[in-house]
Amino acid sequence: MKDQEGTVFHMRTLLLLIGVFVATIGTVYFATEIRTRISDAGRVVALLLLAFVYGGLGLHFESQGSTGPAVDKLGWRWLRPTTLLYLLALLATVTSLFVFLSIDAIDRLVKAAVAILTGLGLIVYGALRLQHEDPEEQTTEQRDDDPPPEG
Amino acid sequence: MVETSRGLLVAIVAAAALFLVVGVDASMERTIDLQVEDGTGWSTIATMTDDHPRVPGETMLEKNRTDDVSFRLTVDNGYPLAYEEPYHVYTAGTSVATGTVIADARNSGEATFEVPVTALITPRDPADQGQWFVHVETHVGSTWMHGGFTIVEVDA
Repeated sequence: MKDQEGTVFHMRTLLLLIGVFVATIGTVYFATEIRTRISDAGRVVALLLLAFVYGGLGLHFESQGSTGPAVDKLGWRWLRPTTLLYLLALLATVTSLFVFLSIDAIDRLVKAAVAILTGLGLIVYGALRLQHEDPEEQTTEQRDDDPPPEG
Repeated sequence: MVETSRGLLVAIVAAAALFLVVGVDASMERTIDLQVEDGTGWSTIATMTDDHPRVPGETMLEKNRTDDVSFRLTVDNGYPLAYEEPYHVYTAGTSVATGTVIADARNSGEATFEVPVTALITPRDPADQGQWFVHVETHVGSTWMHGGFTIVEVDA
């Protein structure tokens, strides 16, 4: 695919999109089709661990700087390898939550309380401990810190 | 050479733990069977050990309409944790039995219940047929299995 500025859809884009598509289907298949192979608790833990795998890889790519946009076009620049991996982590977490909520042996009130408290805990932790770094702000701050040009 | 970061370390440890959890869990099998009393003993009509529940060979029961059919739900629990799940038994979409089946850790447990023949064969079958195939759908916790057996009316 090309626009006036040049190619925006590369082999890298294709591999990333196919990768996220296959991983999404694989995650959903894993969540549903192993129902009779392992216990419900095992499924919840396995899906959470899968979320950690995706999230960990996302963190790794972020630290390595391999975060160039998958599609180099305005409006699509949010689609980066890290974003895709974090979305997969989100998917694995959500499916894990659905499996947890479907366990009949646990009281519904307990399940609701666990889900709400976990959600609130994550929001509070994310808001208080993890600071979003805006590259634009950082650049401005750095500019402010720079010594004024002499002469 | 890939530089190791904290994220990569988390991913590797989580992947290893994932394989461990699935492997250990899959090695501990739990078998659930639904059986009916056929006059000579308990005959299995549905089992839940496979991904695709199978229906064992046909089971024939000779009954009158005033009789009851005895069912037994057995759980062979290979897990180190006790098993306790509610069960619901349906025929033709109608609930005919409900309860809880319990099995201790690494042990077996069972739940027995009786269902009147009339609840299994009516109202969907003609009254003068004398022989009915009963399809049974059993939900135990979040899993389910299908099975069936034939009732032959003795005084038909």
